[in-house]
Amino acid sequence: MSNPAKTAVVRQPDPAVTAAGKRMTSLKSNLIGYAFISPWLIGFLVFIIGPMIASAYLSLTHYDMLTAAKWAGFGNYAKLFGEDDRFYTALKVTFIFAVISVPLKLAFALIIATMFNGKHRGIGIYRTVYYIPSIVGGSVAIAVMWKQLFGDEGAVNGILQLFGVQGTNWVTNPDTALSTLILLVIWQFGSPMLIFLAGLKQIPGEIYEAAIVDGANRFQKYARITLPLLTPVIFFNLVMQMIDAFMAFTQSFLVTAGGPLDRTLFYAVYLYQTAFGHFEMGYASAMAWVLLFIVAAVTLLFFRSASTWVHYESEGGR
Amino acid sequence: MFHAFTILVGVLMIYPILWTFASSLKPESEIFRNAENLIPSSYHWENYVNGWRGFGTTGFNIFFRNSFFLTILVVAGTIFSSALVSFGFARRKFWLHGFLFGCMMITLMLPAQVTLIPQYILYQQLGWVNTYLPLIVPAFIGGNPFFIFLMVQFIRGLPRELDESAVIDGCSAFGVFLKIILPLCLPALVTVAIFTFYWTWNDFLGPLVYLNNPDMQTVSLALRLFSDPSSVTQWGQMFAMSTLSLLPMLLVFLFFQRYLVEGIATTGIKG
Amino acid sequence: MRFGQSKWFSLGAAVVLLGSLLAGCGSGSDSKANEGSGSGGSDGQQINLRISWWGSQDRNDRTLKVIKMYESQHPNIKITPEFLSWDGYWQKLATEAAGKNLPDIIQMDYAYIDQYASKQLIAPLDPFIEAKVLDVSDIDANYLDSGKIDGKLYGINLGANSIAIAYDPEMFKEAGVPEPPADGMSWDDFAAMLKKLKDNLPKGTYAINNMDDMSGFKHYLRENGTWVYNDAGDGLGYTDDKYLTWYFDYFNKLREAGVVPNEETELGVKGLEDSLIVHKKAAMQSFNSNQLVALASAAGRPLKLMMYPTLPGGKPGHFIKPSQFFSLYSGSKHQKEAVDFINYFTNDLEANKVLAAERGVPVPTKIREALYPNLSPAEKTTFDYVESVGKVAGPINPPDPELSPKVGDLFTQIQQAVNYGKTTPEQAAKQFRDQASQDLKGQ
Repeated sequence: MSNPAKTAVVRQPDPAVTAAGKRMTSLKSNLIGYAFISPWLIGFLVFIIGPMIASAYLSLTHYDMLTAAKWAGFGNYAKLFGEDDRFYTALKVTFIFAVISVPLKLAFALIIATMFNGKHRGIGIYRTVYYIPSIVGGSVAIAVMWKQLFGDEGAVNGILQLFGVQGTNWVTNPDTALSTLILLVIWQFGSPMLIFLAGLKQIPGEIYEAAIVDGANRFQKYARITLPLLTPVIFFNLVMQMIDAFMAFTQSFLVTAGGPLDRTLFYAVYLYQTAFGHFEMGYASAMAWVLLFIVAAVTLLFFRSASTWVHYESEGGR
Repeated sequence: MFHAFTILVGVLMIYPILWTFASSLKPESEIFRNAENLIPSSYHWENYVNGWRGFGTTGFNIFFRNSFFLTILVVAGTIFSSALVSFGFARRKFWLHGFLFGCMMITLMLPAQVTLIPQYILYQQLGWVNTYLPLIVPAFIGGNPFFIFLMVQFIRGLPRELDESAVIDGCSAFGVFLKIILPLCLPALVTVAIFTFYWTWNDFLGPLVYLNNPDMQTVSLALRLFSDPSSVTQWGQMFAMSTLSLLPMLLVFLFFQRYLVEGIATTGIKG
Repeated sequence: MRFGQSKWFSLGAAVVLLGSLLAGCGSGSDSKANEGSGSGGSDGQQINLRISWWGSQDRNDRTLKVIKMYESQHPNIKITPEFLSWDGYWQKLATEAAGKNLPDIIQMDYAYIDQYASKQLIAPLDPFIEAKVLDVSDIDANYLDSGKIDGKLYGINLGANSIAIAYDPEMFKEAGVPEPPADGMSWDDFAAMLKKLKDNLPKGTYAINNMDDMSGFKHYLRENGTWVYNDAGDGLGYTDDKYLTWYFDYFNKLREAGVVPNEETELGVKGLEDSLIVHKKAAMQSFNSNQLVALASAAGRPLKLMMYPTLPGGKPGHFIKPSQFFSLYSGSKHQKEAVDFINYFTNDLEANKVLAAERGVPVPTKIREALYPNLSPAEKTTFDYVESVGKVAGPINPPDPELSPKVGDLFTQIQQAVNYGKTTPEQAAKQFRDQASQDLKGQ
């Protein structure tokens, strides 16, 4: 049913139309644009920017939350970079965690999403089952379960024993603790999977039909058509998973509490300990802004790189 | 082949639910002693009855009602605002466009822990503490930048010719949004709905800080009220209520995922 | 539409950052007290009180029942309960403190009372004792002193408590080791007994959990006549690293002999109900005496209690700890009514029958005596234990200084490093001194 009228729609845009669009930047167009983003803009101005500025200010003070903040200049930042070994530990742990978990999680999510894009019987049940680990995400139950699973007498060691391997307590062994958390995060790949799935659904079927006419096989179709058209969604998942990984908190907080020997001391966990365990909100705010600069820098790199590999249908596939 | 593989991996995926469910039926003393066993030695359905009773006069019926109330409003607000805002960012040009988009992305990168106190003071001065307003209103104004960014990426994947032909047909900007873009974004909107439901349902920090009265609290908060590190923890009841709290999320997912259908193919663009 | 490569994007980010950094003044941090919100308008007769605590279901139920009882006796008073889990409790309390919106009655922990008192967030109760709103005549000084800071009472002890060692008499019998004396034994005898236990118990069973935590160290320091913190709370109270070296070394030897578990196993325990003794993988378990009920019911068999090891010729190490306090918010508009409730909670017999010593052994003598006959065996054991500790206990040290949570975390880190064999006891003791001294100086 390759309708020529339909396929024409998704081809390269007519340059004349794009040029016409550019001339339209008038006051009215501006107003329309602002009307659309106004919900966010109002929320940002009323509820977000104030507390953000406040936290930036607090990062320049000693603030225990119970009494008024005392001015400290850049003292917190100096201490953070100059004296705080745990800050560097937390940075290192978080970087390792992000660099390993993000690509693996995304790859897994993409493979499963591609598998579940087809029309199989009971596909809804399968999707739900594979999404389950993400639903149970931050509950106390999952923390207990994970420690049990990888514990001294857990199921993992039970399986290993069948092969004659003597296991350890994977969660409390300093050499393996971080790996179990990475595994936990990869196992919860449901969110990016769902987003990939939605992205795959959005690729117009007509394009495939055209490709069949050209005689492409399944793999070629996937590599040449699906992946490029999916790049906006891949880009989204990459950026968001990266930001998420840098801010990861729950897994470490609930399962290992940053231990053993600080081997799973995620940045956000250390920040939480500092703020609400040690009552050093000023110092924690400084930590938060350092994290923000790092994440913003990495995000910016991603956005810079986007023009070389992200393909926007709406921009004529540049 | 497909089914064999899927089911095999699926067992790994579903294990936590089975384990939680099994633990919810075990006698209190068995939860840690025979932890590996998915089949309890005896079935203790009373964990559900006792857990449902909740605390004092506030039972889980109230916690569930509160969670549903809160979650449904937040989902509605998030869909409303993220659809509008993302269309603005993805399809309209306006002054300071990139700057504002950058601002939005930045707000995703500051840990909530450090804006919590200033935000609390702000809401308190508005008289909103101990109401649902601090949890609901932000969803309507701005929603979550995560979803705005998500929708922006989806809309940018849609061919621009669609808008342009609609404009030629006499559609206003809002008309393009409502009649062309929104229907094509169904998969993305479904994703937003599922995520928002799941995040709001599970949110701990917001309800913790802003809700005081026990009969205003949510399921996610109540689940933690069974345990105390220094005294008796009712593990069985905690697992029982954890299992129940997973059900709405499962049902919502099962229901909504059916709308993950080919947007363009079904809607058609010939109009 | 090309924000992917737009300089506006980076510029936007930079301006937000810079702008917020420069706009240093007039932030929301210096909070104004927001009167009226929370404790509610007290127009006319109706008085609203807020009360907060942490705990589990049992405590929530019992406390709510007592609140109802009090309300029915005082129709003009409405009490709004706020109960949370331990991990959220302190975060919420700190947030409310920043917003000057604390509850009128606050369940307080020994670790935080100094901090809240020194910042005048909680009020001294002495005026209310003089005004006869609060009756402490039936409470032993031993039980009351833990709430005192600089001579003023900032919290009423809700349950007396002390560190303890639980043991399984059955496993002792199996191993053919005589049960230990209830009032403890010397550190050397204790170690010898543990080794004997280990040798005679089935393979893979430990004598006891690795009990080298900070409360054990505090106990040992007290026996040596010194304390972790100095009186001003701005430095360590002991001067010689030999104490901590000895302490870590003692447990190092036990661990190497397999008497106590290695750190992997120790940290793998998922909670009180998952303790090694519950699984019959250890014959003994160190903990706080008010946890016996939970531990014994998880184990499903009777457990007995003994005191911590003693130092021959040393001072008493044990002291009566508060399991928790009730404190009064200094900004409360109905202080008298709030204290009246605290008094009811502490001294009323009917209320305490409902509370059933869930928070620990009640401090008024009359209440203890009235409750005793109806207690379960495990509860009786707890009451007896606290009673006998009270007889040998030394005076309590001042509450931990406000920067102590950081020192507590530091101790845990260093303890782990020793137990994983990453450092020696000598190095650990020195490292603890250096870092803790610096942390306690503050800022």
